[in-house]
Amino acid sequence: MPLPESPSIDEFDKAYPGTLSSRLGWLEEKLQLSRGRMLRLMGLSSQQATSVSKFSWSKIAKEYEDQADRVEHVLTHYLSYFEYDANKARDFSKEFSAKVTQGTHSLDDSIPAFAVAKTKGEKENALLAAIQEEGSSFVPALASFLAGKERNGRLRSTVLRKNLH
Amino acid sequence: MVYPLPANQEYYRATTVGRKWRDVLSGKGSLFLSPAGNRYNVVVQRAAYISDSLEAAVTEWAYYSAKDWMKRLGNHHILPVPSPMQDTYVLWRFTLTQPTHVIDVEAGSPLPVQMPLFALQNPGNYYAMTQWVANNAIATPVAGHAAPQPGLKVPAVRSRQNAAAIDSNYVLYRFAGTPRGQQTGRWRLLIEFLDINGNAVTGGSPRVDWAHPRFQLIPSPGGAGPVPRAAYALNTWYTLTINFL
Repeated sequence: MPLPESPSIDEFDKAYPGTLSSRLGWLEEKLQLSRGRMLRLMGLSSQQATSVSKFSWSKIAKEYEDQADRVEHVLTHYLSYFEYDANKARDFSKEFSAKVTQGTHSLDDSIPAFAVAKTKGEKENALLAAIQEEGSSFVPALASFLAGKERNGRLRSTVLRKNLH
Repeated sequence: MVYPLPANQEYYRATTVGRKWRDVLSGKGSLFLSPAGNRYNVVVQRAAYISDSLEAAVTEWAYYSAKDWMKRLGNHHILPVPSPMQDTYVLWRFTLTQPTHVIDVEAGSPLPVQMPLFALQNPGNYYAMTQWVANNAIATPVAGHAAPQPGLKVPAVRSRQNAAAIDSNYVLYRFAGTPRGQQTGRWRLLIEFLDINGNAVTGGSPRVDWAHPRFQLIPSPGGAGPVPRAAYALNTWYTLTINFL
């Protein structure tokens, strides 16, 4: 007997474009990501991302094809955890990020480089490294990165300490 | 040893949802699975991994599906794993026009490239040796076939259940004009991991039976599509055995 499928999977399969540049544009729009953030996910430095973000996806996909393939893979992998529903993926990222801010979850616990990072730039680089690795910290790192703000995992420890006293 | 690919042989490969036919042999799917490359390709070396049996193609894919579910379980406190533990992919069937031959890594490689079968079937994800075999096999000219060689025939590590098993995968490297082929079928592929009692995974499940997932092919949306050959009916569950899970 045929099984019911998630409508979002069907919609994604139908709507997802066929070329790399169109896919990047689709992901940018549906996940409401800035081009600069996507370029950072591709491994470009902040400075490079600012400068390259003026270009079209066609030009970027041609010039940075391997990195563009990489970010396309990373973002669709993330989407697959939400049955390819971009709204659910966006909401999760915001909700998780709020939990980190509230101290319910700590990035320090799962991303050692994040725990020792001192500056905003170092923290962002720690998140990016965890995302590229696609290991156990993939989901929390990418959700935090997509939420787009600096997160301080030490907050939870502070909350716990306060609760203990 | 040269292995001529039989004319009109049908091959299979699974992909994630959203991929188009042009993606299937692009070799891009193999680029980023692991930071250290994959069994027969180094990082940023494009290679399409395909099988000449439906079951071997699904078994290989199910292995990576299992690993992904395990990763998701590691974040269950952040993003709860759904029940049933079922995911949707796409299974492609196609014929090849290029390449017309590959190198069989199990048969007759020149020393020191030849490796024992048990080494080629290392179940771990430690690929330096097989990548070295691949690079040597690709770069070595053989009678009638100048280098680079377009692909390899390799043991299907996740599928071979006993010493006599011959399940194979084919690794096709991306060079100008190859690989090329023609799509002959496309189905939705459902893979579900059950619990150790053979039931759908729920909050009460003691543990997951990682080695024996079940799969089902359903028609792709927009048309009934072709019926799969071999002994697989649409909309019917079949159980797999994955080695080393």
